[in-house]
Amino acid sequence: MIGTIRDRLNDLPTRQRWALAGVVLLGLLAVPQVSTNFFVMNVFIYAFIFIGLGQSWNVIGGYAGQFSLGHAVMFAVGGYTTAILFIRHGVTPYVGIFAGGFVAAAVGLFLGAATFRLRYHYFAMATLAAALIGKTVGFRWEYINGASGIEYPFAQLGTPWSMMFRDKLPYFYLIGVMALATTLVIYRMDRSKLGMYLRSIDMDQGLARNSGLNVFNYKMYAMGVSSYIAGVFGGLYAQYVLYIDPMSTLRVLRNIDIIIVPIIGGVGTVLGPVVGAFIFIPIREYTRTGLSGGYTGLGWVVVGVVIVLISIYRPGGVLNQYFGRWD
Amino acid sequence: MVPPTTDGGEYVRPDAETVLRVEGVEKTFGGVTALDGVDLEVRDGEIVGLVGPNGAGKTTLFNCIMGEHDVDAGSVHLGDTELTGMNTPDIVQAGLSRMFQLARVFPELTVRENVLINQDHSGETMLTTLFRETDEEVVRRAEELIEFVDLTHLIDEQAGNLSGGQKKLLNLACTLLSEPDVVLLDEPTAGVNPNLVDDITESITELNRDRGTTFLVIEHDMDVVHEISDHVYVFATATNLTDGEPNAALNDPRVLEAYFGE
Repeated sequence: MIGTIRDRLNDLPTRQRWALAGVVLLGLLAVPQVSTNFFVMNVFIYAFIFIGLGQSWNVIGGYAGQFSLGHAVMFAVGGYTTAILFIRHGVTPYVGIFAGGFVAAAVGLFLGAATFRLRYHYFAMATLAAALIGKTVGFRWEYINGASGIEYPFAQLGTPWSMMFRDKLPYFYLIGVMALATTLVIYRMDRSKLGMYLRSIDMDQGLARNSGLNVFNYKMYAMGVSSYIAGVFGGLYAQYVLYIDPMSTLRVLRNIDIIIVPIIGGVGTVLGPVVGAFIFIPIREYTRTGLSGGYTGLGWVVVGVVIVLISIYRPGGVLNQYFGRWD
Repeated sequence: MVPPTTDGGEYVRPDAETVLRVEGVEKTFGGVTALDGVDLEVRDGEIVGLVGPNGAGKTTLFNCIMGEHDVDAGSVHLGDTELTGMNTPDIVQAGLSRMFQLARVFPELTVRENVLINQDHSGETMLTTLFRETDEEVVRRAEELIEFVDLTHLIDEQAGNLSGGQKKLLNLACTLLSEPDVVLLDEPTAGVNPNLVDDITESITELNRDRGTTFLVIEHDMDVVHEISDHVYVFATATNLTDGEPNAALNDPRVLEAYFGE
């Protein structure tokens, strides 16, 4: 049955695909009309954040094929930058999240310059080392309050330009729009020469070099874009929870959270992180809240089972298997 | 093909500009000497064959020319440009292109995309590659090359689905998009069925004859070497054994001894 759905979708003319995407988008926008339940809103907002983070990882890990295990560092850098600019320097987060993106991109480019000569698992291990360094720094650096983290001043709740909202609806729309905008950028990249070059580097780096591509430069471009997106969504995350600390942003498992989304949905596809986020986040949130008390932590067992099942039956992710590079 | 000429019985290479010059190149891997002061010259419009027993250092020389390996000594020049020490993408931009011994394609890209990857990358930045389409002229030339190697019917097919011979033809088209000064072909007919061998050799001679494309070709099939080459270099044990017009070079007693132990 799913095969038939895939064939029908693939046969749709471009205009009808856009119309279908529009219907899905309108459906999402209508969610708050159906329910403004705290839990439902929370699931959607986290799903939007993880669409952004999944897209971010997908650029470097999916398209360019560089398996980064350190993306939480860029996520945290963006979050901390946004929070510090706002709380200590009075810079509105509407500017701060993009500044956070640029600082995260700078950190990502530094990390890339140091690690891109490595390949395969050596690169992954180097980025994991960066994640561990980031975590240690996060817990010990006094400037960012170490393990205590940084709290937002609640006196500013609801004030203009603070991006601190009293209820979840504005977050739903704001972060939803950012997730959509990011997905559109990735869609553009997927169809551009840049996307073609990055995929060629993923497939055969040596052949790409012999085709005249400066592989190092293109990996750096990918790392810059990827880190920028992670930083922006780090800022949005900080604004949403109104608190940022190393435990929630820099713990090793956060790196895994980010990777799981495109792996479930489809690595190297435009819509993979969208599908992955809407599978992973509801499972995570429902199991996290539903399996509390003595069952705390069992949520990860459920996530693990889902990943094992997808690896066996849908290698490459849900969309890769069914839709190819459906765009 | 540039017809070989004779001058009083002596073979004389065509009086054309030297486009690729390799001088005294040495390369060792640990204790193994792969190249021991090899010299080679390719002139504009020639098809130069490079033959030698396995392990003679032919592919290593290609790797050194293309910047895949750093040379220990010696130099490589393309026209007036010294390639020694340059990285591979810059060497490609300078005017060389290469086809590998085993057909290598980007399997999930289409035939058209595989060729287009080889366009001129000078001046490209992240933003231009994100927002600017490939020039129509480049696309037209890519399609023309795909037609030349008779793969138009597969132009939107993923390259991973092609047969081994079709991949070789695709590789040949890929090497030509950037209009290189010299094309390096590493055993273009290896592992290809006899019908496609003819297609490949015909394509090479046609490109040389009609477009003046210059080739340096590693080849083990002596019939092919005889058929397409203007000039042949023979390598043995990491160094030059001899060179000259194909018949003379390949019938040199030292060459026969190197190959057959005669």
